[in-house]
Amino acid sequence: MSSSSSSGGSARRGTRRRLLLAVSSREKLRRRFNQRGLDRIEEALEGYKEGLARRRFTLRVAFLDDASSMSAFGLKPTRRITDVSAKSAIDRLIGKLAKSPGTSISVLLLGGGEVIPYFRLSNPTRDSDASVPTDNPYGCKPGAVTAEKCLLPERPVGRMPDGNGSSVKLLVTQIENAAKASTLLPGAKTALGYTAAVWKKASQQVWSELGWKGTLRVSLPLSYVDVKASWFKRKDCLYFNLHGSDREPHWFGQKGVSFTTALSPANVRRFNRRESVVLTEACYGAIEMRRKKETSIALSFLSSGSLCMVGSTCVAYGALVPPLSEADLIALHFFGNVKKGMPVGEALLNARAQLAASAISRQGYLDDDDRKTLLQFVLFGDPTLRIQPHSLGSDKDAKDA
Amino acid sequence: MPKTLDVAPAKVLKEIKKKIVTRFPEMKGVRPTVVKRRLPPDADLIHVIGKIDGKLGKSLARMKGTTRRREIYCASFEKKMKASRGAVLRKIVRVTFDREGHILKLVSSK
Repeated sequence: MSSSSSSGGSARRGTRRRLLLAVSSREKLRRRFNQRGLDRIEEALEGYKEGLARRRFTLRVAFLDDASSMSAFGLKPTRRITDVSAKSAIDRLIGKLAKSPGTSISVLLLGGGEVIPYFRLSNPTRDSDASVPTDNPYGCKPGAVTAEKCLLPERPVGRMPDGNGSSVKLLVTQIENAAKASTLLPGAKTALGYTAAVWKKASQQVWSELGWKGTLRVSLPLSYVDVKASWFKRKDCLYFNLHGSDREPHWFGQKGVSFTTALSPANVRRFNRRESVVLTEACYGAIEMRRKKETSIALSFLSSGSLCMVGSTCVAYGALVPPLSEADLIALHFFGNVKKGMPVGEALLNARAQLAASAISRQGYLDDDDRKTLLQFVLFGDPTLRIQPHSLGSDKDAKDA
Repeated sequence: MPKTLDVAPAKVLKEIKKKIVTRFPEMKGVRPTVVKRRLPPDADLIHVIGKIDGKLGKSLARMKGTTRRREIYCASFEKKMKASRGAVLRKIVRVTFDREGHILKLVSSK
């Protein structure tokens, strides 16, 4: 991973001042990790400022509920942090920071959903999810807080979950890894793909359209006992098209009507060792609230060195066979944009727009499944990070894979 | 009888159920939830897409006026499935179809 010296998206072209606005709740972090833990986070943020400066980004940190932190922006603190009050405070901060023309701002939420809450927007589909947890409104224009108005955010948003535990290590690790990323060069040139057998054709289309070489792993027959360190070795992008559940820590493969455990959090903590970009299409693939790394594959990736992870907060949908739709299109376009050198936050923004454009072109409208897909995918990690564009999909990759 | 929130033609629905059970035998006996949707054209979204990606926006802008209000149905079949080590997974199959029974889209939960 490396930094972006010129952003890949047309919306960002020509910008001169680039800011990463990191927001959190000082009080909630202190309650979770004590003063000592909070001190460690603030120390890591100082190092992060230096790391971002090397990539010509400015980090501005705002603790929304802290008077001294907010007064630095000429604003009053937010007493009670809810989704709506946090968005309102972020919008006011952006209003202050974006005064000079040509400023581009990305948002980073420090902490999980219990620190800075997810919005819970109405579920466009009548499935088993009561609502759709999403960070989309934090990237939308002021006042936009409904599902209909938040389908396509225009500002990159990322989140660093805190792991809901007594240890501050997960959050500090993510901040330190993102700070170091500015000086790391990608050592890997290949991708790992792991799919349920029922979606093999759809996954193969994603794989081949991205120009990735090597083997797409398939479950069944593969299961978690077959996962090896070599699968993860020197891989920049990790792509998963497996089943997930809100009640289970694992992801599952499927062939016919048989399901098996395909990947466990322990697999990831044992074998994942590098600064990769991860995307999963699994239902609840990005579930983190009330979970620890031992019970969440997403948190296991972040704790073991992955720099960012994109996943769904609830039940996700996709095609069984091509033509690709919903989650498959998010995967295809996200990785496609990352390969072009777009920062990961922007890559997800554009992937949503590409999914919407594809659905409108094909159907003439966005249906309920498309709308839910646009809301449910969240990004964990620094949204400004990017992979060097030339580092993926070369001929040499086939030999490495 | 299916839990129908807005009536799809009975004959069409029967055909759709048959096709789904052929493809997903595990859905035999599952009562689908059927929803009728009147979908508006997405002119506002095309504007936002254009702001994010100018090229995409331009190509879609040419479609303005061709996007139209449509009436479609979506039948959702849901069943709990057993996985290894005692895990239980919820599987949902959603089929979108029109009044004539043409399947417009078929997706399953991940």
